Amino acid sequence: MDKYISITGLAADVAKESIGAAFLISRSLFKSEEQTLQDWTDSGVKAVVASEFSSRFTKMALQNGILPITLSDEQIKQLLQNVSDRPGYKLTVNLESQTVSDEFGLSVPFEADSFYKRCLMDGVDIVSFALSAEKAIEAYEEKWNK
Amino acid sequence: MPTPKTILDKIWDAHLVQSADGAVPLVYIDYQLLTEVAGPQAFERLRSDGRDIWRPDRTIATIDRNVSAKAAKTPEVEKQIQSLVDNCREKCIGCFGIGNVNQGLIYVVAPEQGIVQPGMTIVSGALHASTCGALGALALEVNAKESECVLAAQSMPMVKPKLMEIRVNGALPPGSSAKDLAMAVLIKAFDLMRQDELLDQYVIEYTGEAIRTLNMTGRLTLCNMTSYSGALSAIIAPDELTFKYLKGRPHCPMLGREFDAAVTKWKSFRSDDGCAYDKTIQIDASEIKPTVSWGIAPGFSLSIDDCIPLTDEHLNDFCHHLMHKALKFMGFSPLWNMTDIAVDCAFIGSSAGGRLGDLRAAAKVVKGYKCNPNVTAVVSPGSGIVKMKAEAAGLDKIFLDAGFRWGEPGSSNIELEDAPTNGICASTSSEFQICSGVRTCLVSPAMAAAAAITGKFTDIRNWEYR
Repeated sequence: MDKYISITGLAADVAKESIGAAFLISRSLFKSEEQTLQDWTDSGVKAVVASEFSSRFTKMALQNGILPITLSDEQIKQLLQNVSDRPGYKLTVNLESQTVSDEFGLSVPFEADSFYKRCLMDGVDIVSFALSAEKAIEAYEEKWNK
Repeated sequence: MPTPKTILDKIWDAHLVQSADGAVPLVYIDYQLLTEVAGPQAFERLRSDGRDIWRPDRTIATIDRNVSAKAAKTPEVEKQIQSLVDNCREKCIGCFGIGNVNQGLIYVVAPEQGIVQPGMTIVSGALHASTCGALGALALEVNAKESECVLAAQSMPMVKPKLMEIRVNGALPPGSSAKDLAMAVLIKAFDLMRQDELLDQYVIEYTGEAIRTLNMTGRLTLCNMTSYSGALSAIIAPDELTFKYLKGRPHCPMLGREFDAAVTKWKSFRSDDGCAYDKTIQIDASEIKPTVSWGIAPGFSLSIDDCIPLTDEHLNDFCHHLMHKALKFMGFSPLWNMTDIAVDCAFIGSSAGGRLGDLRAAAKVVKGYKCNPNVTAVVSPGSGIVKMKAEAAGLDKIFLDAGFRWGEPGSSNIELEDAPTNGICASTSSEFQICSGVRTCLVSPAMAAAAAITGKFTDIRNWEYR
């Protein structure tokens, strides 16, 4: 997994044409199957932006290297307006400072889970995270006779 | 005095590999259960990431449901099955394949083989992992990434769930079964959702007199269906019934000293008196009547003697919308009596209705009767073992004489493929909405059997047993 720090890329409305986009913006509660998420990871999607995510989706997205960003309905509306008004509209997502910004002066903070933030910034997926505790797992198996 | 702990606290403490500041705790998983649907994807990821399997002996696979001769013909299903079998062979993972007498639905097989034991942590990518909670294990459904993680490290990062107690007081009245209790729980969960409260952070522990008197078939059905509440899982503290159930099962400790020592350990996995639950709700079992689900989501269920409700204006937008959708989908109208609704097919099987106890309950109803000629009726034993035992008890004859089909283990609703498209099915499965092209109304095994005979939903409390 690549390290996730500050990424600039095309933004798109998830309900419309979104090929090549790094950031998908959704008007409604975001739902998706894991296979779709994986396809997105493969096609370079870095974040999805919506006003609400299910807890199941949030975890699954983070584990697949995609950042779910929760913004207000107002902010979503504004972003979608920008996407349709300005062909080639780009966003910058800075995970370190937890802000979404554009070149026209927009700058909005967002919340991020601290554990997954660190995993994404270090480029570590949950499997690498678990395997980094190899010694602890072995010690556990030894202690509990497993 | 030490602080009283819940069953969840105890299982959690016994599986914590590492808990560092700022990181999600790493939790050890005793077994991962794989099927042809959930398995291949995890193997593929593991391979593409260049990782190996940590503990092949703590991974167990079974060909779950794609067994019927009809289903096996589709190339996609063939491919899934072959992929699971090949992966298991390559990685030295035990797999109950087709033709193996132990093969069957994963959540019938895993308890039946004694793989699931009290105090264990279990994960699976297959829906309804919560079933395993009936034996006092913490069993969680995982996504493909987590499944890969457990294959690679036998552990996964996990936030500790909250624990909700559902105390079921009193006793179930005659005619009411675990299935009816499960639907009562789902109605409660739906009520909470109506108040915008979700259960997605909770494991549900069932306690109370009605739970203690449920047999293991009933406990497994209840825990299986709990996954529809939106909760992470369900769990029932082990007791003498659990130990008796596990005794002598292939994966359990050897009878004698080893088994006795295991029982002593298993007994500790219970919530201490005075422990703190994050939430408690109570249900009175004596009020639970035989129930039918009439819609597309859990919570749309009612007593057999009731009628389809009027759409409720007190519902929030989401639920209101869902209710309209349910009526339209099912083709029902408000105020229809449930017992006037005709059924086109009846299905007895699945991991919430295909165990020996379920088949016995249904056979008792069927004995001496013939199926209604308009009903396609199918029985599908949940595993090879269930099938064998049922045949030894002569249950297959009772069903076949009445005009039921007797399917292969785990063949699921696939046997219903030639039933009328969009037909209404009285089903013991755990799938609301639709399965193999028929619209399902969930009922207990006895009620599904009765519907097959009368051709409509039938109140089992008035049944004349022959």
